Amino acid sequence: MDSPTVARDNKRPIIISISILFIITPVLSLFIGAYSLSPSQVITVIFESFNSPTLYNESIILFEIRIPRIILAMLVGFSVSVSSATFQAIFRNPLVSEYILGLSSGAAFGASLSIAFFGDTMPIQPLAFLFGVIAVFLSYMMSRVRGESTVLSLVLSGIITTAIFTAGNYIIRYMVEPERLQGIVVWLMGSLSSASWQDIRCSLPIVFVGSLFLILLRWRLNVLSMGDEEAKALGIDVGRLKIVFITLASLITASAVSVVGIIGWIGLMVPHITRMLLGSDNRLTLPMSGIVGAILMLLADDVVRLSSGVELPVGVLTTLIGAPFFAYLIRKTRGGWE
Amino acid sequence: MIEVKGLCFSYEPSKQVLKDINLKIRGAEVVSLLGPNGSGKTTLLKCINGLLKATSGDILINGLDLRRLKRKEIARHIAYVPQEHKTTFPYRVLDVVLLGRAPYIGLFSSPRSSDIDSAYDVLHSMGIDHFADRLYTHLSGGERKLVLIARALCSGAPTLILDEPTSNLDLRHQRDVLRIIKTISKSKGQGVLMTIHDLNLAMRVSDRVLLMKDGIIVKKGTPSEVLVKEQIEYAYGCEVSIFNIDGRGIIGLSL
Repeated sequence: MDSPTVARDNKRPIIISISILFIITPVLSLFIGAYSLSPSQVITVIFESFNSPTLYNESIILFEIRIPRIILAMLVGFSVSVSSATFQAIFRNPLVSEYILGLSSGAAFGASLSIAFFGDTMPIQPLAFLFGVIAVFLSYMMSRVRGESTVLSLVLSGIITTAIFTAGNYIIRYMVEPERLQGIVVWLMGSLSSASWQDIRCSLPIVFVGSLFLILLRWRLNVLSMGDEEAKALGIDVGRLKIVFITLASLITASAVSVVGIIGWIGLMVPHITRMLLGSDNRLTLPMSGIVGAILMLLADDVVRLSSGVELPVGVLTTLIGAPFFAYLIRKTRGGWE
Repeated sequence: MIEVKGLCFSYEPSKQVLKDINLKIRGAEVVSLLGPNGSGKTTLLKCINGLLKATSGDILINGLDLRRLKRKEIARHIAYVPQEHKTTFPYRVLDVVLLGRAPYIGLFSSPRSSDIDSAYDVLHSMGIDHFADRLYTHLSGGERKLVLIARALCSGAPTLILDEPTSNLDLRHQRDVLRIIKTISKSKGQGVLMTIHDLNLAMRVSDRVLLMKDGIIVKKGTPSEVLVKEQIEYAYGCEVSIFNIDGRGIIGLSL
């Protein structure tokens, strides 16, 4: 592309490897699940579906369960990773994740509200999405002092927002009848087991448009990550640009989270892994974070599907794997960022 | 050219930080802003490039009112080298220098090969080509300062504002930075406004100096007009001696 430097050439093998994984992982994931499908069966089903649209077990499993689940896993991994990479750059803090502004607690509150009071009449997603976005804007409004919002005030108001919505969530859980409480608990743990084409239709448009703009704007993240004052001196309209980034990143995460529930640690981890592999320049790191996130999320869900019998919620698994891995990363790369 | 007329600034109405500041920065000259800590030097620099809004008075950039200019337009006229700099992420030096091109790069674009060429050119002209692929966070303080100056030069702005470019640098890096500043103004015709604490260095490098105390410019002129014993003692509130060595005045503290 545009920068023929030695450093970038060294990255080419890594980029190619990641791209190959991005193609191979979903293909291999077709064969994983409680109902065993051999490669020849999968190929037969795919070819036959072109000729005759008759539905039998194998084709339902493949087209209505596995493929949507694979696509949704990748979509969610992509969204939370891209938005985390964005937040880490604008907050100049590598420990920030997509949930920093209270998004997850807002979405959790919305989901609980929906399950508790409208469980029979409407799907969970709209309220989860709505409250996720409301939480972010609440945090942002709270943090504005004299027209400016600093990193510290944003993080603090994110903590406050999280506290309020978490308290609200507990109130709902305390009041609600037991069978609905179970639904809330399951949602909070994050799961892809009920993935459907409908879920993809819900979240794909927002994720696609939001990510497209984030990727187009990504070089500006390098400028913003220098800090507000410096970015201004470099000729950037910091206030407006930050709102644009926060809005886009929140929308794509909210649309992913509202469909599958809380997915822990992927968003925090993935930008780190990507930066370790490919450096800090967001021109490369932002889109590649999305790709790496999609692969890791799918792998995590594959593990869930392999452990048939007890299907663990994938959000719990990503946390179980993610937290220790992250501890290892921090020890290993200490001083790489400070 | 930058012209400041009757500039006043205060963070809170009761306490004025800058009072009736008047100054001009033309091309091809180095102007140093001197004065004790808290005299308003950094505040003045931030007002001039629009990071702080003046309470009253005018700032004209090539005759245009600063208040009417967009950030992008200000950045095309004035490049700023901040005093302290920490980045969170380990960017390559080339990527840091490229940020100087921001006022010329469209919202949805990234630096083009022409931007990358000009970044390499600046690094080359400063004799630090070999920094390009190193990580900015791995550089020493002096090396980082050179990179920030490269970033400012990469924008091609006719005026450079530097906030204490030599502070915390060792002797050799002080020399490197000041040599570059001299070259910028003499051979490229750019105007330089900087704050600096070392009066002897200011004397050597400046075409004009402005001496500040409590938000007021108490004296301006050539270094030899301004940096005389009485005025230094008045502005800084401490005794100094001026030694004459090889026909040059060296300012020393009386302890």
